[in-house]
Amino acid sequence: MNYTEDDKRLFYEVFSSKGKNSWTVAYKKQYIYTVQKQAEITSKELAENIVGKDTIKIFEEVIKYDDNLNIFKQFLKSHELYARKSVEIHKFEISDSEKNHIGSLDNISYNYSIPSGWTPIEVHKTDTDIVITLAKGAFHATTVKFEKDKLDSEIWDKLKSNVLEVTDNKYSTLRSIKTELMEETRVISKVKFDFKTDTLEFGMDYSYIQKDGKKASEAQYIEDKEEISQEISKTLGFSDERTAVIKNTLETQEDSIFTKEVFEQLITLKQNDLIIIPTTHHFYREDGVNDEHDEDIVTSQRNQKLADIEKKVKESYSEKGTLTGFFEEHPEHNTAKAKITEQLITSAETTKFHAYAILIRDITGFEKDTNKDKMEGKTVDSIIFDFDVNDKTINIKNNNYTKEVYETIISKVLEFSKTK
Amino acid sequence: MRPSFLKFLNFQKQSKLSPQKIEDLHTILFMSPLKQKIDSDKLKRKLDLPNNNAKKLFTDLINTGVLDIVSINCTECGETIKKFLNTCPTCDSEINIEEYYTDINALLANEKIKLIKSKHHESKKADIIAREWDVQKYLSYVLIDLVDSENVQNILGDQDYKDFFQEIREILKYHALSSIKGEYLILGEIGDCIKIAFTKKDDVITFFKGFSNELANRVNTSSLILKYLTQLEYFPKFSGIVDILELPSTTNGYISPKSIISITLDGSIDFNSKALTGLFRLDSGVHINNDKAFSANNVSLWLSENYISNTKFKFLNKIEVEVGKHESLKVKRNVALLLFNKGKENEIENPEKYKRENKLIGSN
Repeated sequence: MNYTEDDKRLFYEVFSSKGKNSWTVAYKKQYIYTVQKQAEITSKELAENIVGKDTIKIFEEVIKYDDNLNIFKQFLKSHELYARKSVEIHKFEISDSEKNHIGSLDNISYNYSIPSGWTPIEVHKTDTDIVITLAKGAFHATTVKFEKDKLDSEIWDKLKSNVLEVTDNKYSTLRSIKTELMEETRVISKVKFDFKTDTLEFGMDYSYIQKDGKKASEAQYIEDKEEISQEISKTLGFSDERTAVIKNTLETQEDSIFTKEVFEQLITLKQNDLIIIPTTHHFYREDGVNDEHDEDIVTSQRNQKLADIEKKVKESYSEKGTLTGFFEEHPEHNTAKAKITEQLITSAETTKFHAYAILIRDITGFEKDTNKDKMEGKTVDSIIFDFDVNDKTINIKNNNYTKEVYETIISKVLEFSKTK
Repeated sequence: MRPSFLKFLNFQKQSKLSPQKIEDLHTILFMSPLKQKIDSDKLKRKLDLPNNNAKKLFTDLINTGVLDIVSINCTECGETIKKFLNTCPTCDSEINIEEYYTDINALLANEKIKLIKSKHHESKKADIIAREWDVQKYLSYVLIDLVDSENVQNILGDQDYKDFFQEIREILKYHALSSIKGEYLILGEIGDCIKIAFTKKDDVITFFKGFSNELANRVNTSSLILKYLTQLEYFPKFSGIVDILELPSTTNGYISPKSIISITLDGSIDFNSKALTGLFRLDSGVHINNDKAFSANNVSLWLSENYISNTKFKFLNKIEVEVGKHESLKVKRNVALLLFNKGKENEIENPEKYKRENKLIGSN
């Protein structure tokens, strides 16, 4: 046995739980396919649809080929790094002496344990950047509901008398019992200092549950940012003064590169391999004279379905080898032309949007090549995100997205903000 | 309220906001030309702040005494909240900071603000009318005349006649026009004739019902009207006519409604196109027989054939009238008739019976 009990626990967590740590079916299948390719076996020995079976069965089969769970852990790392992150990018220049100091640091390899407070779990540097990944113990919660026939009658009766007593016997019937369960997990933050673009990229997953069973509050976010600033400064050997600058940068967002210009460019992005389709537009219109007439308006095009759009994108690219002209071919997906949205775009200020970013990219590593014609060797990758012009944060909604689509979007943001 | 400048000076010394944002905040709080509501959302938009920071700034401005909040109501239980609290003292539900606001005093004098607001309101109204006119290519146009006006003016005398018309204007604005769905435009008043344009056809009937109803109420309540009730045979009675006002066109197509509608210096809206005057002539071609119409009704309304097409009145019986001042320009038009009594309309089977022969064809 080359794997540890902890590794096995992580495997079970991923394949048996629904929620925070579970992967999408596509991602699980991609893992199995990678195991196949690495072990040089075919689907006869290990079929991708094993992912639908019991976790014990999956583990028994997979462990024969991914015997130290290294491939699994690579996938887990990728999932943790690229799942539901809120991303901010700020102008931040690293001085030469700081750069020298960073150069002398050793890389720390990815650690899968659950620390109690914010702790660096990986430090990875290249000539042009350094990425510090941090984790903190958190919880994932779920509720289980019991009806009368699902519970031992003695327990039910005892509970019933207890609960009715609490309400001074104002109520007489107990209909169901809801229980809240929590499992320990960890929340990840990724911080990158890019020496080439002089930026600080801060990624954080705010969708976690605290020990008290409640979702992390806004006050907690601020505390998280402060603690993370402290930890990265300690890791990189920054002075107190610089730590204060990092804290201030993250708090005030005044050096954010997510400007109105970037917002405008992203909402209308149409390129040969990348398109952005905003499906929900938030507008604000200030009356100027009667502030009682100030308006917040949201238009939502609920029939813009990602799977449908991805299919059309694929077909279009297969034929033409570019996404240029996609909206001419499919004007129904040019969301800026929907009647009310179109009128509001010109008469009100767009303050937030919810969008799909759809990228055509080359397949990498052990990805399956299932496409033909001009799509051969390529794949469609999507990200679902919100962008609020005031919050200066891109909130990614997918539980799984690839490094490629993420890096492409970030590189566009850097390009639009002219930091690149 | 007027924010405390001294406290603002102290606040800015401790604030993490950039000098530019402090400057902008100063402008919002102390240099607002109009009265305005300030809440965290307004600060977020005006100062380009993240939501959390805007909430914190608003809280800080309250806690340092720069601003005072105005009472709000709990969105859950309706309790009046006078202090800056996180939870409602009555129902214990959380109160979002975004609910709180403060009113900032205006720099401008009230009279000036009133004029700005009135111009702004009229300009919006003009936009709506122009847009509707552009889309449907017509407006409904109403002329209302006081019946037996010469006699009424003689009996009432100048001052009472003036007061009477003031009361009529009040009825128009606050009773007849207040319940319509679309937009309207009062296009001035010449003598005893009032002209109103409507964007929605149905509103014309709603308007006349409301007018007739309130006019009937006033017969019992208005001392001015009661004073003359027995001295005049037809008082207070009004005759009206409704026609369609097509969007004028030239050989190059339709004229833009925006170029026809203008806002005058005192902030009211008017039509500035001479091309429209020719359209207002239908009323000169048809007159109502006062004896027949007003013994049991208080308002009469002639409806042009163009107006009643596509309405529930399209099957009403019509009569032909000749319109136009000069022989060579005379045209024949068909009109139907409705009579109103205490807000109820009566469809007239035989309009001919209610028509009065013109004394002078084509004159007003």
